[in-house]
Amino acid sequence: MQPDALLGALARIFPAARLLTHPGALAPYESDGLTTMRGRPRAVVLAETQQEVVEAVRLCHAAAVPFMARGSGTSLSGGAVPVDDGIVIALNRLDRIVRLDPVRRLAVVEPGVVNLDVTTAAAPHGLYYAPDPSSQSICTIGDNVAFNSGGAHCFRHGMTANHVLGLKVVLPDGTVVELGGSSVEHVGPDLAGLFVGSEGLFGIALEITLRLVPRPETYQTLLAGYASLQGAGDAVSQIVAAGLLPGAMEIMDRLAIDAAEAAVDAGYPAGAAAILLIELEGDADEVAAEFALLMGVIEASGATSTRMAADADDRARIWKGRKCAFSAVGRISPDFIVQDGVVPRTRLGEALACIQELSSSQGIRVANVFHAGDGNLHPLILFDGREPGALERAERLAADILRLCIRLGGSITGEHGVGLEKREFLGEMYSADDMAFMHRLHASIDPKNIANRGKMLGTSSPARGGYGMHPLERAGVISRV
Amino acid sequence: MTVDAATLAEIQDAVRGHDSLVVRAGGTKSPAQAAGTTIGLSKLRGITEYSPAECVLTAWAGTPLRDIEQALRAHAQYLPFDPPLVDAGATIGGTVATGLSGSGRYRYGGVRDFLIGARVVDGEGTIIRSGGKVVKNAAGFLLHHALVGSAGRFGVIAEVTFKVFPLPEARATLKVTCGSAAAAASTARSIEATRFDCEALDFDTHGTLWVRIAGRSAAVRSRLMRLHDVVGGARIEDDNPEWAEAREFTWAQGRSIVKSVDGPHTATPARYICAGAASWIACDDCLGGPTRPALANSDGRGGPEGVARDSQGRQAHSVAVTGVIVRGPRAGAHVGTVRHNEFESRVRRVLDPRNKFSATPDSRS
Repeated sequence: MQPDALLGALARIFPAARLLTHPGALAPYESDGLTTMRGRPRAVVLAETQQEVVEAVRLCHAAAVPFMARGSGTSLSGGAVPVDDGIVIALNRLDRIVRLDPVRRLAVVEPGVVNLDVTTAAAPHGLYYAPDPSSQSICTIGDNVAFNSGGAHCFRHGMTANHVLGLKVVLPDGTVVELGGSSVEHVGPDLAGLFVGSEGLFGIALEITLRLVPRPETYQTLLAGYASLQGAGDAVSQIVAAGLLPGAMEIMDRLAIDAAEAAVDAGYPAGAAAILLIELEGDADEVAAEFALLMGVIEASGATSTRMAADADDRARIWKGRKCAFSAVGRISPDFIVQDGVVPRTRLGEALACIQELSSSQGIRVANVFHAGDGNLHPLILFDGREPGALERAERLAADILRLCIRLGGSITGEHGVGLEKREFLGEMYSADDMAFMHRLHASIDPKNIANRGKMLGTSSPARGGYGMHPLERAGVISRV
Repeated sequence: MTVDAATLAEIQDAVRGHDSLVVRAGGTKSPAQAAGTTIGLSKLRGITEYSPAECVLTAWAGTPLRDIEQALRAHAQYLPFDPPLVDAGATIGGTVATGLSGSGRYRYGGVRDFLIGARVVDGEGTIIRSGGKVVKNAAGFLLHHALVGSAGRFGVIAEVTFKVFPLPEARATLKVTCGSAAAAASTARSIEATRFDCEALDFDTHGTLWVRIAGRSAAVRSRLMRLHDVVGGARIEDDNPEWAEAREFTWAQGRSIVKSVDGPHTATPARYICAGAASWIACDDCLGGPTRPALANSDGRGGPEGVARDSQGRQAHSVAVTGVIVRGPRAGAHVGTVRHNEFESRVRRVLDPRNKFSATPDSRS
């Protein structure tokens, strides 16, 4: 099928109102949360049923035209930037919660369901969906599955992959398969676990079976101020060493605190160089016992101030400051890059010192917000895009930070994924054999390279140029078996 | 024929030098009865890296769970999913390959939730690393997830990295006699409705229910009292032997074991974990025989889903369950309907292009 014929074929499935081709209508789909990268799709289809998604994929496959599934476009790694002249399959209208089973503690949802809506639906049964990316009020489960999204509670609760029990998936050639199932246990290899985080390269999740967890009886949220970032980082290690397993441990530095306070009055301590937010969860009597232990650790760690959330509203206020930290930084800088990297938790202090050194030596302000429990850094690199060369300087600093994460034994991404942004770093983190395997696996599942082409494994944009052999394949490094 | 591999290089040599391979480590589960060369991994053992402060442990696949649990306990840490067959000599690699978690998976999740990285030798003898040694990582395809339950069909699992947790200071168990499995399932639901933070919630065919809590010793007593107010029962003063019975499958008295992903069913005898979300079934001949009904048909041949058949293809008076035989004859074989999975085939073609690892008991295309 020729590309022009593709639009005609799509028009037979999608009424005109759901097949966007005019430049004005396409513009909102050109980029995602990483706005420095753009692509102009040939068309956007607004799918309303799973069958429409499958048919759109089959048509794209027949025409060898790239397609990309899109939820809310909240990716921070350029994972939802369309391929030029490709087709965007928008999934927001596939927003049905197909089934919610409070006894088996699971929810079967379509990919366009918003993350927070799962928790809202589960709440009357005392259950919730644990992964909570900061964008949870708009990001969709399909997005979360594609990028193995995290959030603030991953050390204790795990990432998206740990909460997906089963998937119905359309592979890039239109084959529909079921992976995993509806039990906490599975038979055979954990294929659902492999699909999660594949960044759209393995196809599109049509239906997702999620594990729900019981809402704890009590939360106890503590805010501790520190005179140095290092002090807050060290306290995290001491908390874990004491045998505690908080639901969340978050650190914000001075710059991030100022930004958050300016945006929402979160009641963070004035004058602290860093704050550590710790949240215990569980049975009320257990949390009371853990809290006594925690306070001992915090006092011994040299905290300059402590504040306990007075009630649920106060807890929400404290979290609001943390969750809006990214957008709040917009108040203190015209532009910024959100970086996402991981270091071993015990090397947090060292990593932060290095970042501060890079920041001051390059004269670029960096605000730090991070999920300290799992060593997941989110440096916010501040710049003014109107200054010539400022973006490039900021990107260089962002790259330096990623290489620091690799050097310290961590990862180039904890939860945002590789997308377009970090492709050049993946090969620095993994060996040539590891990379060759990923290319072979990709080629086996998507020989035409049409599903979200160019993300994760691509090298340039358009990533692999044309529909021919992969460069490694031409070089004889990989084959399609 | 068995080739012992004590290093990565020896695994690579074994893979490159043989056409058909089966991996064996502790030998507590699969009898490795399929044709081909057996790669013995019991000498590929030892903890390669353990940082208690990071809560991350890396070990060779052939490391006995016993050694790992001992090393963790010295730093007041543990694998929270109660891996089975520790006393029997099961290894960490075998636990990953069979995807086995025990009663403790109820609270924080199973093997799949704690495995954060692995090194595997593929069918060409190439070493592939997946994941890493940090607890949060979203970089690249996460192949290690697919190794859980792979039964060696995706290559030789050589090294694994786990997230571990601080060991609870204290534990306590209530044992409740409910009369029947159905009554126990109903009691389990009433416990779940309280949303108390339980570590394990098991029951068996006879209707005995065990519920375990874990945490600070200062709170265990009051938590147990609150639980008792809901379900009654009695605290077991020394609960270790009873949980060891579940973990070691001694309750099955040497019979074959099927891990079932189904909730309460009428198979007997069985032990249910996670409030009945999954179960272990003991049987003499799980796949049936001339006079004995099967749990369900195997290999997807004959019979629609959910209808059990005996070996003659007659519809049997038995229970349809979906699961995998984890111990006994034909260990590794699936119970229930097995569908061809195109995604799995494509993954296997990449990892095992010469079909070296497909001669396992459950041979599927």
